[in-house]
Amino acid sequence: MARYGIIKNNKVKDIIIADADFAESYEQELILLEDDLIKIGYDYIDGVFSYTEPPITGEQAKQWRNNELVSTDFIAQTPDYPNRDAWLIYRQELRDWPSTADFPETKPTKPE
Amino acid sequence: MSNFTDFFPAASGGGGGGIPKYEEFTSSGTFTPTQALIDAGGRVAYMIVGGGERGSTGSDKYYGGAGGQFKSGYMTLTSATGCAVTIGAGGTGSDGANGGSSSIVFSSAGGTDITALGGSGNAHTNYAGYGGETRTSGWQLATSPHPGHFGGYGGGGGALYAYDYGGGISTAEANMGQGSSSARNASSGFVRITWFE
Repeated sequence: MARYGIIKNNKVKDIIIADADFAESYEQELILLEDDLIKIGYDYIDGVFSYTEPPITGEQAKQWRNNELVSTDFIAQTPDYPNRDAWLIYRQELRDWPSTADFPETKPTKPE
Repeated sequence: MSNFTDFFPAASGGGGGGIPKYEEFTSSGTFTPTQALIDAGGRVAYMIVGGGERGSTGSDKYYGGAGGQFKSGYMTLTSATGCAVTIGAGGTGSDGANGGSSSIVFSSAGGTDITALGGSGNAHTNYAGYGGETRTSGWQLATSPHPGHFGGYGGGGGALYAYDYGGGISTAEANMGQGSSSARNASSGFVRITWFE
């Protein structure tokens, strides 16, 4: 058994487990995936696989922003936390981020 | 189907129920209904699970992969024509790899096609099984709209470390459609078709 990619519009639409006999008889184009790193969403053009990271959506960016705020809550409540002022600025930048031109592509820079 | 005996008929000649026949798929193949099944009404029960998602890391946290979608139900077939069955692969190789969808092309034999989606990072909206969660997400197993848990099928992956939330599964069991933690491969899907004839 092996992994086969279902190719549609030059993209790996799905990956299934199959053998060669099934792959030959299947109605859609199946390509044997010899590299485990190839995943759904890869491009397949002229026999070559490649991958381009899809742009982050506004919803995904907000989810990330919210996670960042919650995970740094304890810093705001720890007066002697190292470099705390920079973290507070970072948290404010996170809150302001959705209303800036940087949103959603460029994330605020996390303090060291 | 109105009652239990519609699907579990008494064996001909009396003397108790018949023995169910079944076919299981852990890799893609073809389900061909027997003529005896079609003659008996063509009714089958199916169970289908998509492949699980491999867990991932990000922003200092570890995310369990989402389990594949789980479906079970009944279908009535009208011809003994082969139906393609595909088994979605589990996410492998790199963290965050989505699971593949499993499907049964019942329409070849007069039924309706069934697809169980693979688990993906968009588990909150795409009907995939519940995935492991970060501690900040606020999503809990009890409130998940897509539980996907049925005897472990389609379960979400556990986060890599104990301080992150996870579905409890670290290493996905083979052919259960389970998501995995990061750095581990998720498991592929599964199909079982059961019938009497």
